[in-house]
Amino acid sequence: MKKMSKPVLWDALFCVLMLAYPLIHFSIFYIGVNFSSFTLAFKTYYDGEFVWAGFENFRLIVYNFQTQPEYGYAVVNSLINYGVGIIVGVPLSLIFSFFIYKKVKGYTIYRVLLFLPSVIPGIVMVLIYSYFVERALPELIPSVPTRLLSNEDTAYMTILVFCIFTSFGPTVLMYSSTMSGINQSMVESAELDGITFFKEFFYITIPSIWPTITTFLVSGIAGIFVNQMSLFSFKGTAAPIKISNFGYFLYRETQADMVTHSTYPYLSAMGLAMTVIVVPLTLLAKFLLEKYGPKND
Amino acid sequence: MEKKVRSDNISKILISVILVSYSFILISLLVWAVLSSLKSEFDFQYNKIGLPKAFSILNYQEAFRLFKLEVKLPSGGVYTAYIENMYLNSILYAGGCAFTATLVPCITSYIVARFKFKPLKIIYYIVIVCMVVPLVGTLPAQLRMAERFGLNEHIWGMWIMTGHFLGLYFLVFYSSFKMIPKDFDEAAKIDGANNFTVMIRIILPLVMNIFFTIYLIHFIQFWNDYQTPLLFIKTKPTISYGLYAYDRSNEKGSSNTPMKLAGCILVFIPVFIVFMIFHKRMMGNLSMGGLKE
Repeated sequence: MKKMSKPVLWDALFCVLMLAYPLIHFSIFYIGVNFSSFTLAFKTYYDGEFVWAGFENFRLIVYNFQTQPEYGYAVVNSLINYGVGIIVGVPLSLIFSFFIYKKVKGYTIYRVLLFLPSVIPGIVMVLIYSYFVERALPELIPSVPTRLLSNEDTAYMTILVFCIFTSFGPTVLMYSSTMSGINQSMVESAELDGITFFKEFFYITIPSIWPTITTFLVSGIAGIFVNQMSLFSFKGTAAPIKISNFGYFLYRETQADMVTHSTYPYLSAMGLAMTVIVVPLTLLAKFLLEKYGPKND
Repeated sequence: MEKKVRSDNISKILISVILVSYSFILISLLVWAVLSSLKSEFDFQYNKIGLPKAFSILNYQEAFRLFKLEVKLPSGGVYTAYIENMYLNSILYAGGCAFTATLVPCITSYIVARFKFKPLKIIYYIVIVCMVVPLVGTLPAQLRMAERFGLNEHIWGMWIMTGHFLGLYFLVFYSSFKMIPKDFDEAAKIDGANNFTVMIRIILPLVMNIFFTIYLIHFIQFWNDYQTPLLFIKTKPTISYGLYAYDRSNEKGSSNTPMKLAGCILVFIPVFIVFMIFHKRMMGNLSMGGLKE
C-alpha cells in the first residue's frame, strides 16, 4: 500500500475534521430523513404506533385520485404553475437580467425593485396584495370583477399573477451576475460587427449562461410538487379544492396532524409517489437541456 | 449602423416600459398599504384609494397591542408571546439559521474545491444529485427526526437543522474558491502557515463579500419564513408567524383592514431597513456554474 507523506496526512486529517459536521448532518437529516420517509410510506398508524402496511397507502392514494377532486386539481394547478413560470417567468427574468447586465438607463433602480418582493416577508406581500385586490382594485378600476381572490373561478389566476410578479428577485440577481462574467472581448468584437441588442441576447448571452439557466430549469422541475404558490399564506388551511396544489396539500396535512402524526405514513407515501414521477422527468429535462441547449462555441 | 441604433433603442424602450410598469405597480402597492394603515377604519370604508382624511398612528399603537399570540406549551401551560418576544425570536432564529446555513456550505465547498483528494469529488456529486433528484414529501419524516433528537421547539435546534451543505450556495462558494489561485495557499504554507491558518486568514477573507451576501439573503429568507416555525418551533413564534396568526385572529379590533396593514408594516420595517443599508452588498456579484463541473 502506498504510504501517505506527512503533509498529505495532515491535509487529509484537516479535511476529515472540517467535513465531520456536514457529513454527520447529511447522514442524519438527508439520508436518515429520506430513509425514514421511505419506510414510513409502507406503514400505517395503528393503536398509537406505526405498523407495517405494505402497499396500503399507495392503494389509498390511487383510490383518492379516482374519488377526491382535490387531487386532480392539485396535479393540474401544480403543472400550470410550473408551465407559466417557464413560459412567462423565465423569459422575463432573462430579459430583465440582460437589461441590467447591459447597464441600460435606470438599471440600478430596477435591480433593487425587482429584488424587493423577495425581501418583503411573503406573508406581508400576500396580505397587502390580497387587501389591494379585494378592497381597492374594484374601486380603482370598476370593470375589474370584485372579490377576485374569494371567487373560486378567479382566485387561481389572481394568485398565479402574484407568484410571477414576486418571482424575479433571486433569478434576476443570479442571471445578471453570471452574465457579468461573459467574456467582454467576444461581446466587443460582435458589437464591432454590428450585432443588435436582441441578437447579442440570443446568440451570445443565452449560450454563455446556459449552464446556469439549466440549473434553474432543472431545480424548477424538482419543485413542481413542492411549490405551494403562497396558498397557505393566502388561504390558511381552508383553500378551496379548485385552487389547491400538491405543495400546499402536503404542508397543510402535515401541519394539521402535529399531535398523533397518524396521517404521516400516507403523506410520506404520496411524497414517494411524486418523487417517482418527478425524478425521471428531471433527469430527462437535464439531459435534453444539456444535449440540445445552445452551445457556447 | 443607423438601423442597428434604432433597433437597439426600440428594444430598450420596450423593456423599459415593462420595467416601469412593474415598478409602478410594486411601489403603488406599498404606498397604498402605508397610506391605508394611516387611515381610520371609517375613513378606509369610504375612501379605499385616496389619501387619509387625517393621518393617524392609532392603528400602529393598536396593532402593537393586539399583535400577540397565545402559545400552548408542551407541558400544558399557556403563555402570551408579545410582539417584542416575537422580534427577539425572529432575530435569534434568522440570525442563527442564516449563519449555519451559510457557514456549512462555505466550509464544505472550501474543502472540496481546494484539496485534491479524490473522495472529495463525491461530495460535489452529492450536491448535484440532490439538486437534480428531488425528494418530495419528506416534511413528516423531518418533523419526526427533529422530535427524535429533541431539536423541535428549540431555536438552537433549528440552527442545527438548517446547517447543511446542499443547495445552490454550495455551487456559488465552490466556483468562488476554484477561481482563487493555488499559489496563495502554497506561498502561505512556505511561510509556515498550517491548513487552518490558510483557510481562516488567507482564503476565507477573499470570499467574505460573497459570504456576507449569502448570509444576508439567508437572514431575510429566515426572517420571512413562518411555515417552518409554525411546524418546528410553535412555542417560539417569530414575527412572521405572529403576522400569520394576527391576520387570522378574530380578536376585537384586529379585524379591520388598516390595522392589519399596520401589522404588515411593523413586520416589514426591520427587514426593509436591513435591505436598504446592505442592498448594494446583497445584490453584489453572486454567480455560479451549471450542474456539470
